[in-house]
Amino acid sequence: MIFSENILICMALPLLLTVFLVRDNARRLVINFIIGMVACLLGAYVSGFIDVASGYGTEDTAIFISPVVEETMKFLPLLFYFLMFEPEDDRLFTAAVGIGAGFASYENVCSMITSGTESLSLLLIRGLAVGVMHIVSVSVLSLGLMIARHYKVSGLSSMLGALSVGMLFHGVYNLLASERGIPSAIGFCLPLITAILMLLAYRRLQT
Amino acid sequence: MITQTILILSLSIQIAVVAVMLWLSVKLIGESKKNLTAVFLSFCFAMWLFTDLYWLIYDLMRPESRMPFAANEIGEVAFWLVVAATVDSAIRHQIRLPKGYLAGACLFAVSNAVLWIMWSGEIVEDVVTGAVFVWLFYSIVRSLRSEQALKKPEWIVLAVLCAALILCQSLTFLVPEDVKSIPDLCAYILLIAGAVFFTIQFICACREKLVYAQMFLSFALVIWITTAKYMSGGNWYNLFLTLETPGFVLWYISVRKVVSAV
Repeated sequence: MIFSENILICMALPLLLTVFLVRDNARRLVINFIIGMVACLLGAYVSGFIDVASGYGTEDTAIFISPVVEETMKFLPLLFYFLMFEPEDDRLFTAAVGIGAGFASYENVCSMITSGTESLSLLLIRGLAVGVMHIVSVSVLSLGLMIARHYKVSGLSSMLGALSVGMLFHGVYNLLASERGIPSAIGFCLPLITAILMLLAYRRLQT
Repeated sequence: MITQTILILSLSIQIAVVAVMLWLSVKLIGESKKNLTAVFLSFCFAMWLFTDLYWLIYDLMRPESRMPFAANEIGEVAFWLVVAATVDSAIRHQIRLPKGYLAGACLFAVSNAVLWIMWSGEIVEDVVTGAVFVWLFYSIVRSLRSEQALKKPEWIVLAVLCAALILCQSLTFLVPEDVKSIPDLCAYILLIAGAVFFTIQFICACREKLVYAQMFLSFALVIWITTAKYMSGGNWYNLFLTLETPGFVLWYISVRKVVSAV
């Protein structure tokens, strides 16, 4: 049993103080980082509730339900920011990356405290895989919002489409990572490979 | 065991083909300024790729158990919504669908949803998917009407086919167990006939160089095949799953023609 709220307070306080000392993009990134951590905690509450209410079991909830809940929790603040402040694309992307990084960092800290910190190599693999996975999935969410704005048609379809791509990507990762051996090795490589492919596609589109 | 092996093989081929189509459709986005349809098509392929991957991984890791509610179900629903958006984005002549066509599309979608519920008992999932299918069928019928892709006698043939299909599928629940295979076989024959019908229409549109009609017919063909897949089991399911794959290639080819034509 860990007290995740206490961990959040300890992690968020220095960042909250930083908000008053930095400006512009740095401030936005820090605020979104904190929002990402809060979203992670709220996601854990929702997943915990579903675990108890549905009788799925802790493992199955983590594998099948958590991707749906976590991506929704990341998407909601991003959607709020998008609808209320109508940010430019680069600001929306910064916010998305901040939320993703905050979410991944907080999840990693909680995971480390639960499962131990003896093996540096395992922690590095997990840290990198989860970090990239959350940033990739939240980038897809921001991409969906950008498409919805640029083409001004079928906003609901593109938003739901982006959300579902994020959920599926996260779901595939969780499913693979849940089994030791080759599946988890593939799972840990998946976020990095997807990130590289997305970068390649982005560069291709720019040229 | 053989059915499962064929399923995994078909799924693996489909994943490989959809991955290539995704890459090509992303390339297509940069080739034209009026690229909304290509953007949506890329989204469709990305969603289907991950849905298939999820399913394949689950089947390989837990072959004995039935998949619980998971992200892939949301992915499938979103996929159909985005397919409808893809079709809508390419409609050139905005038309109002006559009530008869609208009622037919809605009735077919609702009947499908009712049959899914009777087969699986998953009420919430099937009601949500059914609602999305109402929108999808409406978009497809509207797109085909807007390009005059089907003539009046062909619409009548399609309506009769759909009605007969629903009747046969419903009969499988009503007739005694020993004669159940007769309406079941008839339903499969009708499903194949529908796929052949749309393929013939697609070939005709290709010969007449009607790029928009071709595109809408390719979408109608794949949606028919997927509807057939959802209505089937065992080897029939694998057959329609296998037929879906070339359908996705037709989507890319026909969308490419439309994007290039702008």
